[in-house]
Formats: sequence, structure tokens, C-alpha cells
Amino acid sequence: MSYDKSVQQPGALVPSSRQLGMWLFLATVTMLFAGLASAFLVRSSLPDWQVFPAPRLLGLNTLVLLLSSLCLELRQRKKIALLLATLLGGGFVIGQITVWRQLMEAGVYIPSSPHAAFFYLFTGVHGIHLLCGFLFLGYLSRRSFGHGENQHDDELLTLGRTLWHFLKTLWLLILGLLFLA
Amino acid sequence: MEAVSTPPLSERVAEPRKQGFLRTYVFSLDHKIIGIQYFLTALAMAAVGGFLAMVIRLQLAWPGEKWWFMEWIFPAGAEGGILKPEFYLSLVTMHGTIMVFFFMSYALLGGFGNFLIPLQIGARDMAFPFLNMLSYWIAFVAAAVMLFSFLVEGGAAASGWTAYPPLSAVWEAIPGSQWGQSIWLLAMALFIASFTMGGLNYVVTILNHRTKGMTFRRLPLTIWSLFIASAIGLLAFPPLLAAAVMLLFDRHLGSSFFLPSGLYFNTLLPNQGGTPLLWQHLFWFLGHPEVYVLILPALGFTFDILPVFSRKPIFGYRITTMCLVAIAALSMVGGGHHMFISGMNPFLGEFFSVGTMLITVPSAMIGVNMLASIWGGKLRLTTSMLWALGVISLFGTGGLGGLFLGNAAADIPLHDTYFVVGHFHLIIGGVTLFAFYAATYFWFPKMFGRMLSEPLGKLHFWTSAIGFYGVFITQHWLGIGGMPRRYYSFNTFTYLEEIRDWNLFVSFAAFLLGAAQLIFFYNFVISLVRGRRAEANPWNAATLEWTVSSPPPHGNWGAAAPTVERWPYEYSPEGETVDYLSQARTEKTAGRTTE
Repeated sequence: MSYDKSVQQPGALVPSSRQLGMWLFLATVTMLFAGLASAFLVRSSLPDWQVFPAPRLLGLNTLVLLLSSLCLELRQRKKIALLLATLLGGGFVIGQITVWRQLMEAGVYIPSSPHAAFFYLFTGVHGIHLLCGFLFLGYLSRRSFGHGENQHDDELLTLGRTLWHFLKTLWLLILGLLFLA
Repeated sequence: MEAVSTPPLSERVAEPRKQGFLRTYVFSLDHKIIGIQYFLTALAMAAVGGFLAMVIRLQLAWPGEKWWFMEWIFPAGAEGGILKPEFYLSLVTMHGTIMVFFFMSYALLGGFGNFLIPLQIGARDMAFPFLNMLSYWIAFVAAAVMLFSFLVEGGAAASGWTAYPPLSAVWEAIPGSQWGQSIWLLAMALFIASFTMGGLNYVVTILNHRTKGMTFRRLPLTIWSLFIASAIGLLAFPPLLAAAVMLLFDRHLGSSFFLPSGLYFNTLLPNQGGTPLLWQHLFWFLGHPEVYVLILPALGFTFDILPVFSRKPIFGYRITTMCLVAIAALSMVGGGHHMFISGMNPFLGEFFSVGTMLITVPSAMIGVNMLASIWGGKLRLTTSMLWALGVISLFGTGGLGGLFLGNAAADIPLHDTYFVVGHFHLIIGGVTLFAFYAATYFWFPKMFGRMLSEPLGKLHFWTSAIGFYGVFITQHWLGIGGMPRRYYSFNTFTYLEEIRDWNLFVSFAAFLLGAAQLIFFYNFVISLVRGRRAEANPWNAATLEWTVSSPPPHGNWGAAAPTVERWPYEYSPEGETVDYLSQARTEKTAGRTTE
């Protein structure tokens, strides 16, 4: 590019275009899950609704994701913390796939019940978004080991943290919807 | 300039690197090139959608007739040269899908949005140029995938642009519900991804990259409308993506989101517990705001063109911005008016009726503001202005039909008749199409550096207007007479005997309309190659894009971005001797010496 593309102008309403872009993206993702959730709420109110018990591994996966989020908030040893957060995020994805395999071994597939269908749907769509987040964190982690701290990297890290906390919160809401509602 | 201090980051223009053809014209990051790419893709898709319309009208004029060329174009859908009824449904499905999403969205938002936003707000490019380029190429793939669906076994989707299950969910229901429907859903998912990227870019750019002095109160209405349309698009599209994923699950993975028990196609289907109404709710949650995503920019362009050719400011600028916001907000909660006959609770129907009727208030105010804007002006009837005046006309007439359909009780006999078809074509086919042409004739010089032929343009306008009204006003009467939509032929219905032959008139008017667009395509191509070279400001317009060359250079503004001093509609300013005052303080401002 022959000129700086992201320069805020004097009239800018928000400090950072990138952060604003991230929030708008998250608003869009929220609407996607709101669509799924509204379908879930309507369907789950019908008399034939049956909930299968939550697989134990889900609890461990959730813990892994929460730990991953926590790592991103550490102020000391930022590089190690970021790497750990990334690895734990990868662990979450592997854990989710393992849950799927456990369910299939137990004979619970998408057509088994409406609750099962929603389970696979929610975890699948959330998992795809989390995988993208994982790749982004991986990229940030590689950058942090590549060169020293700078403002640009700090900004990207803030974006990564926003995305990751959003995905973690979303997961908690999904879990609540699927098994507590 | 003698100043030796380094110019601010925003002003630095590096030496242009010599980039290859691919980086400059194919994978360009320049919003102007990307806008033109969207524009050309839209035109190509419009040609396909328009051709499908001609085939539809051919069928409705002479149902069951044998056409020698039909088998050559559609070997599976028109065996022996006669259109199959199930293929007719594919035609109407793809016509609607292509026109709404792949012509109008691409042209108005992708094309003009990309080209105009940075120029009109004084920015050098979009906030995220790489994302912009990505959004176009995903849009291109989405369009290609959608067209590809014609080639698969079973042919293109055939459940309407609305894709209602169970027709769209059951593989065996109709040939189009085989791979064609799945590919339709994939193409729509790609489209939504592309739109999200683009919409996000527009909103951030408009919020954060306006040049010095460009406050919100000084934004052209084009920008206001694109800003609001992008915002509601970002919020409204995702539930359709959710629905599309669920429909793919039902089709391929055995779930029952939309499929109830008791469906029988050769055998009893195993699904149970789903409901087609869920799809309808999720679809129309997007479907209604979508039409406002299209109409708002159409109105915005018109508001920017009318004052240029009346040489007086827009009437009611502030209230118009508020009306645009009101329309957008109400559109998010009025979508249930597409489902009045679904068996909903009558009180819910009342809620949606009231919401729909409420939208008529800001819409009518916008119509009045448009009229008041030209009232007493010195009208110059260029081609662009003619199309803009057509917008006002169509907004009024199309809106009248909406008053009937928005009333839950009146909608019951009118739903799924040609009354609906006539209404939405006047608004979505008419207002947006006429605004598209108004914008094209107006901004073509800026985009391509040449002028379109005015005589050809006027011929294009008048033949189109006559054809357009001929088709779609007539369809209102046909609808009142009970003629249902999406029917392959009406020959077997005795109650339609008296009005059936009006289809012949409608088809001839449609052929006139179709032929008129060929005039435009010819004009477009010839002018690109041999058109008169355009100067910077051929229309003496006041917005920022007219202060730079046609087409503008890479980086738009040269060494320094403009500073804005006034709103965009200072035509025939009081107390001044000049004809107009440009928004920006530049030496080239017509008739105004710099302070």
C-alpha cells in the first residue's frame, strides 16, 4: 500500500478502527447464535423435548477454556502466557471433538433427538469460530516470540483477548442453554 | 511548499510501486477498483437474472408452447423444447435470488458503496482494504457457485427465493431440491460472509475515517443511507446463515429442525418434531430488512442526484436522516407481515400490521422531501435526473400497494397473488433499478473517465419506464382478480378465464423492458471505449468526489486530504454570486476564491 490505511481522522468517534471492527464482527456473531438460540428456545418448549445428560468431558473442556482465558489476562511473562493460552485453546478443540466421538460411541447422533441435533449444531458452529480464534492466537504467539513488544502487537493482542473472552462467554451461555435451561 | 517538517502519517504518499497486472486490476486493494469489480459482476448477474425473466414471461404468455431454442439452453428443464412445470419453479427461484442478492446488493452496496464512501467522506480508502478485496472475491465465488447450481443433476433450486421447507428440505420433493438446493444454500452462506465483511468495513470507515470538517451533519445522504443499510444488514443477515446451516443439517444429516412428522414421499420420512414455520421466521428476519438494505441506498443516491439537476438544496436534510433511521429500525420488527396467512395469532398479526403501517410515515416523509427538493428548482432533465424522477414516481405507486398488503386482513386474499409480485417489483425492481441507473449515468464519468451517451440514455429511460409500468401495474389488477404467483400456467382455471390473456400484454411489455436494457449495455460498452472524456466535475456537483479528476488517482486526494466547510447541498446559495459551493475548501472550488 502506498499510504497508511488505518489512520484515524480527527473526527473519529472511536480510538481504534480495528477494535471497532472487532466489536462489529462480534455483534454479527452474536446475531448468528441468537438465531440458533431462538430456534432452540421454541423447539425446546414442545412436549417431546428430551435432554441427554451432559458428558463429563464437557466440564473439563470448559475448565480448559476458562484457564486459557485466564492466561491471556496475566501481566507477567506475557509470551509464555500467550503460548499457554493458545495451547489450551487447541486442547479445548481436541476435547470437543473427543466429546463428539464419545457421544457417537454411545449411539447419540444428529438424528437421535432434537436436543442432540442442537448440541452438535451449537458445538460445531462455536467450534469453527473458536478454531479461527485459536489460529489467530497462534499467529500472535508466533509474532511475540519473533520480535520484541511494540504498540502494533499490543493492539493485536487486545483484539485477540476480546475475541477469546467473547468465545469463552459464548461457550458458557451455550452450555447453560443446552443443559440448564 | 517550503515546509520541511514531515507531513503527518495520513498524508504520506509513497512512491507508487510498479505492481503487476494481477495486483493492480485483479487483486487490487483500491476501493475504486473493487467497486468497479462489484459493479461489473452485478451487471453480469443482472443479465442472467433478466434473461430468466424473459423465459418466465415467454412461458406465461404461451404456456406449454414448444420453443426450438429452449431445449438447447435448458436440456434437462425443457426436454423437447417445452418448459417443464418443475423447471419453471427453478426459473422463478433463480430469477429472484440472483436479482435481489447478486445484482442489487452487489451493484448498490458493493459497487457504488465501495466506490463512493471513501471519496465522499474524504478518506483515501476503506478502513480495511485487504478485507475489502477479500469480500469481493468471496462475493465472486458466491455468484459463481450460485450459477453452477444450474449445471448439477436436478438443476437449480426450485423452492422460491424464499426456500421454504419442506419443499427445500426434502431431496425427493422436486428435482431442484437435490444438489441444486444445497449449492444454493452454500452460495448464500458465502454471500452472507462477503456481505458481513463489506458491511463491517463501511461502518468502520464512515465512523472513523471522515476527513477534517466532515461531521455527521455534513455527510451526503448517500453515505447516511449506506451507513444505516450496512448496520442493519450486519444484524439481520446472520439469522439467515443460522437457518441455512440448519436446513443443510436437515437435508444431509438427518435432523428435523424444519421437518415435521408424517411427511410422505414414496415412503414415510423418519423426521419428526420440526416445523416449517421456524424457517419462515428466520428467513423473514433477514428478508424484510434486506429489502430496506437495498432501498435505503437507492433513496440516498436519489437525494444526491436531485439537487444537482434542480440547482437547489435538498429539502429536509435532517428529518430525512431521522426517517432513514426510523425506517431501518421499524424494518427489523415488521418482518412478520410476510407470514400473515401462516396461522399466527391475530393479535400478533395486528402487531406486525401496525409496525408495517408505521413505516409508511417516514417513507411518505421521504417521498414528500424528494418532491419538495425539486419544487421550484431549475430542472435539468439529464438521463440521470429522469431516472431519479422515476424513483419518486415508483416509490409512491409501489408504496400504495404496500398499504393493502401491510393490513393483515386485506393481505389474506392478496397473499401469493400477482398483487404481491406487482408491488415488490415496483419497489425492489423499480425504485432500486431506477436508482441504480440514475447512479450509473451520474457517476459513470467519475468511475470510468468518460461520459455515457445522453440520447441513448433517454431512449433507455423512456422505453424502460413504459415497459416497467406496463408489466407491474397490470399485475396488481391480475392479483386482485385472484391470479396466483409461481404458477406455471393458468389454462386450467376457469375462474381466471377473463383475465388470463392479460398475461400476453404483460409479456410484451416485459419484452420491451428487456430490450430496453440492451440499449444500456450497448451504451455502456461503447462509452467505455469511445465515450467523450469526462472532466472532473461535469455536473457541477458539490460533493467531494467531484473535486478530483475523473477517475480519481490512487489515494484519491494527492498530497493532502480535503477539509470540509459545509454540507453537501449548497446549490444556488443565498447571498452568493456563484451557482454552487463545493463541500471542500480547494482552489478549484467553482467561483469561490480561497480565504
